Amino acid sequence: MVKIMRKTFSLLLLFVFVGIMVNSVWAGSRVKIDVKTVLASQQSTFFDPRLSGLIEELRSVFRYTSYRLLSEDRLILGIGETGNVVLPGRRILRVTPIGIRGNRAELRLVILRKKNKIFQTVIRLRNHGSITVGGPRHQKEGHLLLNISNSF
Amino acid sequence: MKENCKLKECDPILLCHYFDRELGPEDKEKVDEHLKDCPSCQKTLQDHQIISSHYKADLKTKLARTNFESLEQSVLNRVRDRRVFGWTNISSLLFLKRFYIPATAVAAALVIFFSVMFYPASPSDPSAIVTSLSGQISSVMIFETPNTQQTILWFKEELPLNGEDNAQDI
Repeated sequence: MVKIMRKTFSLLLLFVFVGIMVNSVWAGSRVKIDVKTVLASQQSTFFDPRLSGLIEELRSVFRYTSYRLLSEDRLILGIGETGNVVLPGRRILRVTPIGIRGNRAELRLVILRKKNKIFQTVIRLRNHGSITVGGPRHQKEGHLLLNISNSF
Repeated sequence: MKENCKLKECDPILLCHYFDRELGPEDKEKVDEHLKDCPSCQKTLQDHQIISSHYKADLKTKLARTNFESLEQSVLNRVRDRRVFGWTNISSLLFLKRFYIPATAVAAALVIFFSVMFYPASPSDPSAIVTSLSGQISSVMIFETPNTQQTILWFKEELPLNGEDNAQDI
């Protein structure tokens, strides 16, 4: 009886371990990317309630008086797969996961304007971490901030 | 009348029931009448009696030798063992080398796997590491927020030659 129980328990452990490995490998091959497009300006005073956590961080380094969420996009991409996010001002953000190294996903970010590549970077983004890419001017006094977060 | 009560032929099954005293009065009377005139059935009945007495004698000997107290104790022990079966088996399993060495190895492998794959990086690490940068940009700044070390990448676009600095909404 003990032998049967031991065998059963060992098999159960093996199945659990294999299951976790397979699930992790399967889940790990896809990266979930969220892109929040924020218009930051000093023209008015407005803090978008949908950005409450992010605004606190941004205000610690920027002096904008208004943060408005323009759009929110989610991409679920495999390694080497490219996803596009349409940005204001005829811009497009292209995101390509290049690989996963430990706890970071390596992402290629390209910003295009009218089919011209105006900015390109490769970052290693921590799992469940985020980066804010800013700079593109929008409207007269505003700038676009792209808050890009990922999980895998 | 008496003839009607007799069995017409030998019936060994009925005879067995007769021997075991399982027959009703009418059937018993029939068999009794039949036995008077049937030496074969008499012999069969006699054999039954011999075998029965032999078994009874043996049973009596065995019963005389049996220690009922120890038998009762062993039964009670078995019942008690069954009640604690789950725990005793698990506890014995846990202390077996054959169990805990592979179990420890599997647990260690799981811990290493999860620590590499899912353990969050130290909060002091930047959220993002910029490994390369290029484009039509005049300047770039990379910095972190003081609270959560969230990476900020700020770039300034080169002014377009055709004066399309302020791109309009699409």
